[in-house]
Amino acid sequence: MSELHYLDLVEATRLIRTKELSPLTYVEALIARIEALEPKLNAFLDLTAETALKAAREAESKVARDESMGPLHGVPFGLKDIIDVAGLKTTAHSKILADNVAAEDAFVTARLRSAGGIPLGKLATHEFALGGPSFDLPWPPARNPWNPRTMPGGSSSGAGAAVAAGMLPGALGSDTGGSVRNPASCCGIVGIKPTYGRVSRRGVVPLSFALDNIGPLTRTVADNACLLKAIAGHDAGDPASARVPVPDFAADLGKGVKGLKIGVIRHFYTRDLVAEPEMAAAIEAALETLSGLGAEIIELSVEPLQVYAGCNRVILLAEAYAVHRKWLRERPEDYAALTRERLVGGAFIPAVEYVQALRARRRLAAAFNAAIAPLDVVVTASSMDPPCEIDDAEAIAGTYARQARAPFNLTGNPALALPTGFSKSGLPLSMQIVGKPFDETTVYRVAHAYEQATSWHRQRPPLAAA
Amino acid sequence: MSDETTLSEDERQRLAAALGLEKFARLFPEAFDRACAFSGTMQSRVPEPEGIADEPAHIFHASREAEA
Repeated sequence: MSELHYLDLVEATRLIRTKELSPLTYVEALIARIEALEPKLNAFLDLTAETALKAAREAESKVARDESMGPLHGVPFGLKDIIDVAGLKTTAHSKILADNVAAEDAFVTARLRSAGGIPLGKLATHEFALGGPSFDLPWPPARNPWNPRTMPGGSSSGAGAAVAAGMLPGALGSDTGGSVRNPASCCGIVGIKPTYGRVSRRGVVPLSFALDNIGPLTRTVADNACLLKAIAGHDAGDPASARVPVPDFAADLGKGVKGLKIGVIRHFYTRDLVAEPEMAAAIEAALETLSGLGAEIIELSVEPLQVYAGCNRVILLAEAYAVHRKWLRERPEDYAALTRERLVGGAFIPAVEYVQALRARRRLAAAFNAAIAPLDVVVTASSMDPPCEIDDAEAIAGTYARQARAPFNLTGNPALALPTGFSKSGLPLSMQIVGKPFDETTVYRVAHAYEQATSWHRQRPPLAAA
Repeated sequence: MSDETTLSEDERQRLAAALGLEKFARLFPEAFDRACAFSGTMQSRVPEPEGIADEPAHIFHASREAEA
């Protein structure tokens, strides 16, 4: 345990349970890590050190008294600052909500607390989960631990940076067009967008009701399955919440991929868009690894990426505009330039185009699920490029189009991003593993088999304290 | 986002007035124009429905079959 801050979440819970790790020592180690790196990474908007230390002392007392403990007992977590924590501000990284104090915990916050988790702070986000890294907001943008001159992805930017840098073992982000999977890809960690309806969004600032999801970011697949288990489940307070059983997502982690059928949608990153050669080569190498482990790789063709992306964007912009219209009319100057321009696009979408996109969505989802019915999971690209420089506005703008994540917000399927290596310049490369609706368990199974056959998840950013 | 600027001054003012976005268009005319162009590009990618009865899922669930 020489590097407490890089303990895996599952290992930390085990060590706390067996009294080999004090929750207080663990929280103190993470706070020290955060204080050392935060000036360089800007991952936190609000570090709640005092309340976390108090909770850690209480957790330690419970361990000493051998009281019953939740599955995350004594383990700190972070939340993208669109997720409510009672008594704390939920700013969405925006001047618009700078004084917005949450009255109650979000559903997912309450779930993590009841599992024994300890909230350690609110994390940076691209403004309202839609903007980009912006320098015209009250707080600076989070930076990528692998190279602080580059972006950490977004919109769950602080979650990606904090987990990759060893500030937290896990964090929650949101994903409407890829905002959990993008920071996971950029920061060399694991992030899942669960099946739509799997996790309640109650108490989360909305971007697009039809496309929003909450998902965990962690350094390993097993940790991710553990966090998802804690937050999944039906909630009558979220109209999109599904009444489905919550399985043990980690149940099949040791089963390997021998005999599984894995589809690959190559045309997303070789024809519809052309990925950076290093990114494409890393995906091909990952497919070879999976094949070597006994999986059957099958080429799959679906609708062009642009069709999914167009429908996703029309629905997203129309719904986001419905949320933001009043502020865009009255306070447009209070948004960052990037957010303002993105949000106002929804004003130009006629009702008929929104409805046509919703109609297309149902057809596209049905066709996609029919195409993957004979398969176990599907592999494709997440980002087309490694992370770009954080102050390169043109490159930043390009990253939002150059991705293959939005299709699965549209179809609702679970989709996980995980590292596949590093570019020559030392930046993370990644792929996506996509599953059938409500079958996150198989997604985790395949991801874990690949992860254990490689060592990418054990690489650490070359960080020195600021 | 597309950088295409497609609106004349008059067009922008009329559109902004119809949308209640006069302040936005006055303060940020270039962003207004680019957003309008980008929105049009995205709309052009949405396929037409195949049948008259193609209906959206009103509360979207990825799969009703998976529900208990």
